[in-house]
Amino acid sequence: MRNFGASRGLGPLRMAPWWRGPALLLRRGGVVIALVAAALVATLPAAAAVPFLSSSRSATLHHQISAACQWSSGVTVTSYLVSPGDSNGSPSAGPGPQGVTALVARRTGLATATARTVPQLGGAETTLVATIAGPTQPAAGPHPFPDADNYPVQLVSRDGFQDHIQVLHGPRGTGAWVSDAYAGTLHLKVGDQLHLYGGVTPGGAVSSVTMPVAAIYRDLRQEPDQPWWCDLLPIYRGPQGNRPTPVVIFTDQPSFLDALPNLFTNATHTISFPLANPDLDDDQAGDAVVGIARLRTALFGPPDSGFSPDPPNHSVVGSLLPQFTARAELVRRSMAPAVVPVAVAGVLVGLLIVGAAAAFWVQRRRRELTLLSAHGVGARALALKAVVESLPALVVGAVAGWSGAWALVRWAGPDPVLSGEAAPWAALGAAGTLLAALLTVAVVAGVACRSLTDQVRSRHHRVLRALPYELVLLAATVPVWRVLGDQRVTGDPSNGLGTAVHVPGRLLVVPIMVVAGLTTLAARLAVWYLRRRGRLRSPRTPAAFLGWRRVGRQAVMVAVLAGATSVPIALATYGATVTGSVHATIADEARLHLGSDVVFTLGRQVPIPDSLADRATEVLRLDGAIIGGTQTDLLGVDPGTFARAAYLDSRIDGKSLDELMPPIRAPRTGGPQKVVASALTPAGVREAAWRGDAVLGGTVDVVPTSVLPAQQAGYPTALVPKAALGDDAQYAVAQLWVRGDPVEIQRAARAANLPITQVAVAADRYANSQWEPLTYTFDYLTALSLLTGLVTLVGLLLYLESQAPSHRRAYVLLRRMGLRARSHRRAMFGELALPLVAGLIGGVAVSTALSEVLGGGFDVDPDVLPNAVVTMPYLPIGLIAAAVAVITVGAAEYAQRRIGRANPSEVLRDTI
Amino acid sequence: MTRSDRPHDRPAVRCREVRRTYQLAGSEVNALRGVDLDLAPGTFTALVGPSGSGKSTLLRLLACVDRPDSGSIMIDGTEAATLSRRGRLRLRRRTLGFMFQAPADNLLDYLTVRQHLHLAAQLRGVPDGRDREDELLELLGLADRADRLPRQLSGGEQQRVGIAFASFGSPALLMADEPTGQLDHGSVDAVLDAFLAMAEAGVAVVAATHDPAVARRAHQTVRMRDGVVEEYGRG
Repeated sequence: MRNFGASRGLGPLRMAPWWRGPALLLRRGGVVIALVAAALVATLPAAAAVPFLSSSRSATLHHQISAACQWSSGVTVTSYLVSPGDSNGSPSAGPGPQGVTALVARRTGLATATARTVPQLGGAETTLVATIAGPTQPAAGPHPFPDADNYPVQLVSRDGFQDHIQVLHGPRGTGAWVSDAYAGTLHLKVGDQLHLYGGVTPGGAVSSVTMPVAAIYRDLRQEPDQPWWCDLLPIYRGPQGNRPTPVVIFTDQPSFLDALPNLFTNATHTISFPLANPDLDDDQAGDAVVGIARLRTALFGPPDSGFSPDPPNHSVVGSLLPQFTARAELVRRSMAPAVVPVAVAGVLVGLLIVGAAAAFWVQRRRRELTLLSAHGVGARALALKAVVESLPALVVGAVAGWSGAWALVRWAGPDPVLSGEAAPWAALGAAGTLLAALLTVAVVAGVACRSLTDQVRSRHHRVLRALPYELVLLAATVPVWRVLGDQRVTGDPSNGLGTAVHVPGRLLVVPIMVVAGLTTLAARLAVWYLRRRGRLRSPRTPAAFLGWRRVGRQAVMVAVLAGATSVPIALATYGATVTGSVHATIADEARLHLGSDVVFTLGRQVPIPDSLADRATEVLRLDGAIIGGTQTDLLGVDPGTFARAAYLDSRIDGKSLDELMPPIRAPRTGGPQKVVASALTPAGVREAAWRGDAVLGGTVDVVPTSVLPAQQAGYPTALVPKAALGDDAQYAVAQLWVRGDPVEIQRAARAANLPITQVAVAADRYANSQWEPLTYTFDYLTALSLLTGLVTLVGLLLYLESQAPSHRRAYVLLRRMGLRARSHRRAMFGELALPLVAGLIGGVAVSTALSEVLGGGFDVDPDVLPNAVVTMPYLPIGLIAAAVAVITVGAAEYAQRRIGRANPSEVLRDTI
Repeated sequence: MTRSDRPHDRPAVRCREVRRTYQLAGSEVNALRGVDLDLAPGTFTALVGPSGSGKSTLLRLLACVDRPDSGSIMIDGTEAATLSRRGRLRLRRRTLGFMFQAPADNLLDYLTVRQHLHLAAQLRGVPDGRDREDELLELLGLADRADRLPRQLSGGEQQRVGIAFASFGSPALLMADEPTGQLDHGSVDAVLDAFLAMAEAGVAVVAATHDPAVARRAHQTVRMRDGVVEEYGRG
């Protein structure tokens, strides 16, 4: 007899039950669906993690690029054009017109040729800007501006400028293009001659050139800013606080270069290469960054290139792209500690479903497996059969999961552009999960098959099965908590990239471990209870009796289903609590910092418009007052409306704003004006002054409190009735504080034509890129919540499918014994409701307990008040509960209808 | 198709003082209380007795899917009572054949009769070949059914294919649990003929049964009651 072992290695693959396995599975549609769905659920989070991180990185990159000036995102090469003057850059001995023209051509040619080797850069745009010393004037007219130095004129030449201004008159020939405002001031019209004044000649005279007015265009300040002009915004808008009207005269490049040497002034020569595709992915950005570094070397290398960082060229190669790329990578890196554990949890939940599907496979193939086992086929060979049979379904599920992850991230993720690494990593994640799923199938099927015909149980085996391994997982949470630390910020604020704020990884990893451990422990106890005590219960109604008996008989399945329901619900609820609490905390911190949801700074005091009257209050802000020797910002408020429209978290010191108002609401009775001041301002009667002069009558009676809204510069604030400011109110900055939806508020403010000089929105504090990781993490957790529903549904379908044959047989028999359909429907409902509702309650309870214990850590900016605001996600919990209720009722009804259609003659012959 | 490679003077099965107790719902059930049993090669034994007498438990122990609490079970010279899981598996694969009550439970519905024999040869690790298959099919009266699937066979034919599947490669012991329980009278005779044919080929056949027809045609009957062998008899 040959020593052939059916259970050894891959030998069984030569036998028909193995090699025909993939085809055999197709005869079990329910199992196929279960395996495909389970593999999909397991693969999706694994395949989505890296693409999601890549998507977040792309979103950060694109957010920065879109927020920046288009010329800065690519490359700008800026150099001096030195006019006749000394060699230090001041006008003395520069090249003549031909020399300047040749230099510009040489630079542009070299830069353009070199930039062609840099990926992602678009065509060159050349900009020449010369600041002329004094104003221009009509050739025949008097000099209109005696204080010439205060009215700089910018002579600008840029390729294609004609296409980005609105021409009002002309053009006629070449020459100066002046704005309508300037033309109006000087009474210029097209064709007039215009003097342009420059620097001082070596002979001591003021240099000038004459140029015809070629066109008159609409002043750029009269039009919405175009992105094309973004780098010249300071030139035509003027620096902030610069009252004189800046004068911008455009001209074509030859005219500019002809005029420049005669104006005895220097110019900046900027060659810009914008990004050809602002939606580039990270790989392309990385290639571009490398190319930009190469470009710098190439330009500065040749001695006659016209570029050098030294005088007289002072060339600078600038690009924000390296910084953007580095920051995007910082954001991606900061998100990993949150996203990876969530993905791992998702995969584990999915593998739990795969295990249930494998158990389902064993159940549906029990007859064949029993026969093979009776013929001496071991558990390993049967596990191999399970793997072979389920492989196609799992592959299909993994591919579907991978495709779904890819599509979901691109469709619903932060950005549809993914880097090249995303695809292989997603495939690797899917492949790894597929292997894990196959291993799970093998283990579950192998263990289940061991009991088919060999029911010998050793004491050793029983002890091993009874060990509560989950306690190890629970115990491990303590060292993991300590090792992971409390890092909330990634990045170094001093390196120019800024920081990225995120949820500490341990706030996600440890809860996942706790949820997994507690759920397993609860499931173990539930199985023990249902097996030991469940059968002893004797409910009075037939429905309860039947349901309870079935639950007791299927104790393991019930516990698995309850666990499969509980884990994702717990994780989703906890995730929603964390993210919601972090969001709420930041929002409250922002509101407290700002004073309200939206704060308008007004050019002058105006009545509050009716559309905002019910949620706005006027505040007169007088910063820099001195009360009792301490610098304090005075807030002149309306005691009647301030508490309603301003924000203060009463948990900080137990007092609401309304409770702080009485001292300043009370009419003044002759004593010092009462003010409510935050900590640091000394309490009691104190002197009050502003810029050396007494305010509020010279003395105030300070009523202390710990914190007040709008403590923005680190100084304490003091609330005072605005009427008490008296004449000093004219020095105060008028503000309108409004609570509510920022978008709607700003729309109402615009409609009311308020003289707004500045708008501050609390939500913007957590909408900027520093907080992007948080925002993206919210998205990811939301996606996981959606997965929760899928997991629950798949688990339930598995359960129903596995129970269908025995339910059908039992139903036929019970009907003959007089059981009514309604009672059986109730029994079905109870059988399904018990695990699902237990899972729901358990999941919510665990997440609530975790939130209570860990809630203090939900403040990612602990240095700023208020501390963590823990908000329970009642809406998601309610939706999940509703979904569970609907699924329970629907599934019970569906199962009852299927069972009710059973043909008694067929059912009684049914042998699974 | 004889068991010429095994000594005929050695019993196929020798049980001594075999005891088995189950723990059920907090109480003990003494299923076997010291069973002694000898089965010689080439004999067809009917294991009879009322429900709860211990027939199925004894069959399970002989089939090596369970282990006795005490006692000895020698199967073809191997002590099965103390074998490891792997040892029991090897014994099942090489030395034992087992048949379930329902004919359909003994066959794979996607294999033809001949494919079953081919699979049996692969499982036992014995050389197969069309001649050996034809010989067995001829012996069991299934020669013209070789290329049919189980659903194309009658219940009796299915059960005979099950016998062929379980006994291909000449196991020392072929066990059957109520092998005629789901068959009509006509089919029962054919199945019993098949058992006798296998016994003639040297296989020890034992069938737990309530069917008097089986007991009548068996070489010997073993009557069990309350977990012990009450009586040996001739068929």
